[in-house]
Amino acid sequence: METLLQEKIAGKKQVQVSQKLNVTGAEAVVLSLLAEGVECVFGYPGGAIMPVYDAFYHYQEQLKHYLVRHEQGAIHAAQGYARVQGRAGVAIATSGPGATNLITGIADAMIDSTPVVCITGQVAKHLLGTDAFQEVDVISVSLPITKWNFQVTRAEEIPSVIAKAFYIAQSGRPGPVLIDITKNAQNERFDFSYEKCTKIRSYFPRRKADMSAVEAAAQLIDKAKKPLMLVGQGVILSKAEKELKEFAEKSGIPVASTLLGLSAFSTKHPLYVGYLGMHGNYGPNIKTNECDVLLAVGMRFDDRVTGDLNKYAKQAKVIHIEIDPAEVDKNVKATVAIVSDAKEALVALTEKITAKSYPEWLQEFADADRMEYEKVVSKDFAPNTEKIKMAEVIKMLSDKTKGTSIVATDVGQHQMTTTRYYQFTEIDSNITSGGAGTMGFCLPAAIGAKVGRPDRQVVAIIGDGGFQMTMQELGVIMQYKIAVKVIILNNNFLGMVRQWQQLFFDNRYSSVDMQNPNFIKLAEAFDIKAQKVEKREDLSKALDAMLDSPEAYFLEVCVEKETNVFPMVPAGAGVAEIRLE
Amino acid sequence: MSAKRFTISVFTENTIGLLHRVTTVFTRRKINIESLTVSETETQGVSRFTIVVIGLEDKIAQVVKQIEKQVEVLKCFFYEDDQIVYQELALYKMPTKVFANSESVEDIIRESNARVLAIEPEFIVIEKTGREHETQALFEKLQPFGILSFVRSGRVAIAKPMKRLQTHLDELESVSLFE
Repeated sequence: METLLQEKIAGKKQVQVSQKLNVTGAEAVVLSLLAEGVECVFGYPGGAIMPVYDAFYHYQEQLKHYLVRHEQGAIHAAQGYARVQGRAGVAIATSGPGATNLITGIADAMIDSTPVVCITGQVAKHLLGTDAFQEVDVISVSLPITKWNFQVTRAEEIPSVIAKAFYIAQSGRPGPVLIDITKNAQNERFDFSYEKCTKIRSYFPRRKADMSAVEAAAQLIDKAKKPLMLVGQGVILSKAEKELKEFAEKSGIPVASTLLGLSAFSTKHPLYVGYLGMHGNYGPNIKTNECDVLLAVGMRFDDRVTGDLNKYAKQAKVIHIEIDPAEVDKNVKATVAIVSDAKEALVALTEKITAKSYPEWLQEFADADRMEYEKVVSKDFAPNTEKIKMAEVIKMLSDKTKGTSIVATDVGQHQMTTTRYYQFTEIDSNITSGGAGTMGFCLPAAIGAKVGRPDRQVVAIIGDGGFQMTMQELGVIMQYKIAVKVIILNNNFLGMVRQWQQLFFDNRYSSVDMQNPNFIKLAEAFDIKAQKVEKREDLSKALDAMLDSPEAYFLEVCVEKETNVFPMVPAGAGVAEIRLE
Repeated sequence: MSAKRFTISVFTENTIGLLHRVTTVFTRRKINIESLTVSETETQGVSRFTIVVIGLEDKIAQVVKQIEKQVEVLKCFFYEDDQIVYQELALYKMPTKVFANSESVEDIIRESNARVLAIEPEFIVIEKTGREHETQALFEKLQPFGILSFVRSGRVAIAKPMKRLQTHLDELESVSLFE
């Protein structure tokens, strides 16, 4: 046998090793989490995870456990926490239904590259495969939607598997991992010692930027007459906001953002030209098909951004900066690909390029903006309807908070309205379910975000439909006094589906009309201050009361029933076919 | 571009569940696996999956990247038939009496470079290695005599390029950052 692939120990950083003799597997789980610097976990107990909960009891001073009301709440809270903290959130559940209730959130974290470590209990090893009580093969179920998963059946495996889990979840393109721990492994005793994982021989999470590719990209950029930059969440994940700003200011290239890229670049910056995609701004969508160089940074050309690929940026040379090699050439063929971390590539490019500016090209965006303002924005903001419009609420919230709040959204019209009109000025502020489009995401994600950043104002903006998918998590706000501000934009409709039914299904409104409960009574039942706003003149005061409240606050705003979100690139159409009305 | 036959070699850690992880990449894209063989390589703890699929080159290249993205996959390659040396194996179970009653079966075995693996009172087992069309040709020749059972293995393949797995991994490592 060869000595092939032996891990090279030389040059490895000194790592902190914690040790404790004769501990149970359950205690080892807690010690491992502490060794990873975990301060809080979101979870729900049950039979197969009880030994770990017993260990939590003994460590409650060091490790805060938030008892959610449904496991979906745990995973979304862990996601919200991860997004604002820039490190893995942790969700815990028992076997069987506890584990399967995590699945939606795991899929969401996978497609949105969110680092999450899930720990599930499992029946004892001797019962595996016997259809034991609360046994589900969660390894197989979660396999296509985890970056990595592993079933632990012996206590000694726990520290190294948890170390690997955190390393994998947080390195390279982040993602969710799941560790399934059989009950016997939680109860067995062994001598614990912990070493952080810094390398796995089959795993190459980050490449150094290839300097010849950087050189080629710099040449394309220097020769460009109408370049456009598209920035995605990769900038946020690599904490490259400062480097992006420096690159943008030197290159003079207009910056457009994807849904998940929002808050990476200040919307007030003169180079910011708007947000991309199906309900994005007119300018960046239409100019995608007019630019000569398209520079994509940490984004994956999702179909909600590109529309019909056959009609997407065909005239442009494409530079794709992307950490995941599997994303390169997947949807859009790159002229030059830089496979690396966004920060590293931006720093290298900034050095190579010549300082430029494109006043005429920027003017074209300003013209497009004016057109969008006349046809869409001014109408959205006009107080000319009986009820308040969603856009009015978001505009007022944005102005009052100066774009500095962490804003969590659910999925639908309120989400698109918020991401269109909330003018983000601070980094790590946009928390939404992008790729998966998970209704019910917002409330628990906002809770996780507030736990992660108690110093910042966290506002959850939710539709009446999505709210009812995870509204049980109001209990978490109540129990732990989490000062999340919740705005329900209530139109008594599943608004986005209704919009599609109006536009594409001849006004046949099928199962979108909602008879809602009394939301105020509901919030009050959870001991949360609540207010309902029906009249335009009451909105400003109500928002002030909400924002000024040191505690959680629940604001229901009754909005126009049948407004549509425009602009809109109809599904399957090209970006240039964007409709303003 | 038209669909072609590709042989995919996946080098992986020998861990439980990895087969599932690799095959889901095909399942997601609705690509049928024509054959699949797994064995340990010359390196302890490293397995090689040999997977034969028919598809468009672009699509297969993407699938290969998505397989390589799996944490426990060391490296994944794909080849057209002229870039590899490959072989399959087939077993044919025949009633023993056909040998007693006819000499032509014996001739067929000789001509086909097949061999007899086992002789039992009721049946014999014939083995033939070769490419699919060769094992299929023997199948068709034997069929009139009554084949009791037939099985063909997946393809095994060795790539012609001389670059070794370790060299590929060293190259990857030299351009990688780990923290």
